[in-house]
Amino acid sequence: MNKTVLTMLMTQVGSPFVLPKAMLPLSIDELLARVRTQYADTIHTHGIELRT
Amino acid sequence: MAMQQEHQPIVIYPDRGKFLRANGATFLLGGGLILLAFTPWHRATAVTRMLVMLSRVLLLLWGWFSIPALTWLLFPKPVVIVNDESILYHFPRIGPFAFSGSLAWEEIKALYLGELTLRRMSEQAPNAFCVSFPGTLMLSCDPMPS
Repeated sequence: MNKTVLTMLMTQVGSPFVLPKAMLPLSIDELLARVRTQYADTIHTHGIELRT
Repeated sequence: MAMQQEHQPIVIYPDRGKFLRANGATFLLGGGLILLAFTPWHRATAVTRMLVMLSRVLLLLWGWFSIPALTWLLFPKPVVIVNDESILYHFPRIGPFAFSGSLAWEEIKALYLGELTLRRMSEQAPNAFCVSFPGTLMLSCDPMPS
């Protein structure tokens, strides 16, 4: 059942990974900026697209 | 020889106040159910007894879905950990559903801010941080308008 719900969620959201901003102590923009800044080389190495 | 650069992990703990405010109605509902479920039985009318029985059943369901979140608030674990290997996220269980997991950097195709389609109609700002797998259809998690 859990897998079914996760599959449904993924179909709806288009991503297996979703962090609601209501849970975070910082804004999602700040979190993304931190990840982008701190892991810039990892992101580049793995060819990860950064969408704006 | 290539040197692998070590990064300081990004560890984000949940904001308890924000989480409580966002789920205040759910927790108030639980409080109401507790009050109703423990109404004195011997003085209750037949209708009240039925309501009490119903509230006890609902309280069990409520507990199944909400107690993991309450426990998670009391003993918080990091909600996100970003390290050299992966991005890990820990979300409290919601009843039978567990949404925690991790994605290795190699599995990640894109990082972007998106909007959930199941959001409140009034909320227009991006409200989620998303990571997509290669080959995943990006159906509803739309990129933020530039």
